[in-house]
Amino acid sequence: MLEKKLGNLRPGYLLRFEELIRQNAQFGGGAEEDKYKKARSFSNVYEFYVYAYFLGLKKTFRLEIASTDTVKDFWEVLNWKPKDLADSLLASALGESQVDLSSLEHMEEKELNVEIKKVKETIEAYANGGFDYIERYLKNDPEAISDDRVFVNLLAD
Amino acid sequence: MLIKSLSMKNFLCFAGGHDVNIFTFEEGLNLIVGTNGQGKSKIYDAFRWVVYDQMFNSTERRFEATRVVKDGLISDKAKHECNIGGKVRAEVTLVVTSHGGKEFRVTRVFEALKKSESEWDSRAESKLLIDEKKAVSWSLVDSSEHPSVLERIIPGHLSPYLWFQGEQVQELMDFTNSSTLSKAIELLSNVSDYDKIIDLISKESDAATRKYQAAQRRTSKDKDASTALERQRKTLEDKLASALQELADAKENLNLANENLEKLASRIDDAQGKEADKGKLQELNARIKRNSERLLKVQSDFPKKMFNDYWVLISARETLSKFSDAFGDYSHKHQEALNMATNQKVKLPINVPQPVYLEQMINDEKCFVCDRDAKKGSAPHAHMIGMLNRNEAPDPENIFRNDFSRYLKKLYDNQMHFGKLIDGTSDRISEASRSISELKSSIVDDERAQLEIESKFAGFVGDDDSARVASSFRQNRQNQDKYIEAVKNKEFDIDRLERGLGDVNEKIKKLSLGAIPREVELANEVFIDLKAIAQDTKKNVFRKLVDALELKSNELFEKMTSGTEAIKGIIRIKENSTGLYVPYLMGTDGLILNNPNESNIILQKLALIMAIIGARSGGVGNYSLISDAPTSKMDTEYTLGFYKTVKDQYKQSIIMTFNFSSEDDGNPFDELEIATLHKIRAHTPGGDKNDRADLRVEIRKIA
Repeated sequence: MLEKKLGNLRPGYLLRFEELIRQNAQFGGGAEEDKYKKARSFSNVYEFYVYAYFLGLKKTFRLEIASTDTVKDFWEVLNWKPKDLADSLLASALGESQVDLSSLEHMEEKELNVEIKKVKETIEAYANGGFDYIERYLKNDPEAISDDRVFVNLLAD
Repeated sequence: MLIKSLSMKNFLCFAGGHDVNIFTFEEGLNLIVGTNGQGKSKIYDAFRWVVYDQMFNSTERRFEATRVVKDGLISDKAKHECNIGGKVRAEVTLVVTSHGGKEFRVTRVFEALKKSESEWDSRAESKLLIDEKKAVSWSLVDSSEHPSVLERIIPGHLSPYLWFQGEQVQELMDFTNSSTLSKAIELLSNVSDYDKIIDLISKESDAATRKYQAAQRRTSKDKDASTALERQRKTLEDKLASALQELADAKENLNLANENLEKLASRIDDAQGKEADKGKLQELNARIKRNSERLLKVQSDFPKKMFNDYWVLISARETLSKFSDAFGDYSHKHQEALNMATNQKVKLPINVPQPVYLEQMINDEKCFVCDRDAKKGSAPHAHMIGMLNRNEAPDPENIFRNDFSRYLKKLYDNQMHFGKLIDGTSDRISEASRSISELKSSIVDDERAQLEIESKFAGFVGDDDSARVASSFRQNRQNQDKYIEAVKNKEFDIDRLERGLGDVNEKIKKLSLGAIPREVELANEVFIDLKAIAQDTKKNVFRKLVDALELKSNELFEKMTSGTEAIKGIIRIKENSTGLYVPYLMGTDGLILNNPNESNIILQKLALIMAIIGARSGGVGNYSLISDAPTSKMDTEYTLGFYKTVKDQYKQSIIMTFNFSSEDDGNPFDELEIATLHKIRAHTPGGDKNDRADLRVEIRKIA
């Protein structure tokens, strides 16, 4: 049930990152070659999302989503690939959201949903934090995007 | 003879009578100046027409007879003004004076009848009239004398070299044909007289040989043997003649290869360099293409590897550890709960019988604790069976509301696997980065090299013919080797045949018993020697003529080009292996000049023409040089050089030219000390420049 609930999560991003995501990721997937020719670094939105999550985490950059914010979601986590990487993100989010794993086993579904929501909020907080960081970075140095290695370097620095 | 005047009546664009269309000339340089389209070439046509009854068709590049041109040689204005049924005449008159003071008036007349506005009845032939000036009147010269008078104005064989148009010079001296110069020398010098002597001696020599051989045959002691030997001699002679011809052919081919190699010598290094560059360029292009494709692949793989090679987890060790810790804690608690359930199996409640009793109770279908029946299939019986089976693992469903252990274990195992992978991520990223940097740097270096080579090629004027030069050089080199071998083999064959022929002659001589008259024997020997002497003499005379020609043509060429700074080169005349003399323009390095400017080529040819004509026995003092636009492709400096030289070389020259004077140059005509200067200007008084019926040419004598 936990796997299903986590797999069915549709984490979202703030609407203001829509342009950033469109510029750097291929909406609806696509061939790798197309992606590169269109100068986009990510062949799927979920790739960019996973990247943004780990970047936000690395930079400890959280952007909490308020109930008034407009959020866009995209695809359930269970569809993200590679599957084991999506599982890593979920494992990380479970760890970061400080959910008591053993207590989950004794919860009723309603209570469980509250904990799952915490995990989703954790994912969204770091992913949007990551997007925010990227946006600022590229605003400061617009030329950086022409470097193929910019996203890798951001993560590796 | 020198030309005193040229006048025309209704000839081509020269509408009107002799009184308005007249040029008078003197000894020295006579110039007729006009811009393009003013009628200069028509004046040249007038000279040719009056003497040769021919006009030059510049479109077809050939001379055409009057019967072909017909009324086309009559002025449009005169034709237009003529009434239907009336006649109109075109005339050209040349007044010439001989060295001895005789004066002739040479007139050619052509008449046509106007049948309608567009139709003319032209007499098929023109008519030539020649008068000789006698004291105060002109006396008609008999038509039988006409050829002699015309020949004295301009001898036929000299005509192409004395009367020519600028555009004909290239064809006149076509040095791509190696026999051109030798033929011109033969034609214009007296050296061909030696051929007559050689011919004469050859005939006498052949007759003497035949007589000698007949005498040998008559006096043979074995006529059959002599006949057989003579047959053998004939076969050998035929073979020798054939071998000599083959040797001549091989030498000609060798000569051609040598000439071509010499011409290519100064270009081959450059061409081979260019070919090497082209090869390098191809290699660079291929490598750039290959590396660009690889770079595109590596670049596109680079961000992809963030996911496929999990680079995205490079900094995730800490967060994954958090999950590991959480999982450890969970795992402990989960196990504890399971253990507790297992312990229940060991510590059964007090009121539960031992398994041995339970088994008996199940068999007896009776509970010993409450002493009631528990029939098989009833709930108490099933309860007893359940109590007995408490040894099996406890069902988690009975312990946890949700058992997430398998899923969480999977997540844990997954991150444990990533933990090892993360360690090497940094190195893998560095390696991929290095690969991109190396490819980029290689492409940049190759593109720079490519640009350097391309900029070299961009500097070449005209089409790059290095491939043709290199290929031609290789081919000619092969030909050279091939024909050197062929010449060697042929010379060997000829030597063998000559020795064979000598042996046969000796045998025939030995068979001769009776005494052959001494005079017959002597005549044979003498004529053979004489023939060789005559041939050698001609060769020596020719060589001396060529040496003098080279010297003179360089003197003239130097004079004509002295005013220019451009590279000129010197004229060298070389004998090729077939005995023909070919001129070249050589640089100071002894190599043939490549692509000399056109002015230089024309002046080289003009210098050779002047030198050949000048070297001719008797000179050309009594003939006029007449040329139309010989300097049309030259600038002022070359033009002035040419006219100065012409003035010195020819007693009289009449040259139609463009106006090469300009205000900046002062007045070059003064510098040239010209004898006469006429300026011509075509105009249409009615104002319509396209109205040929209104076309006339104004002639003004300036000096």
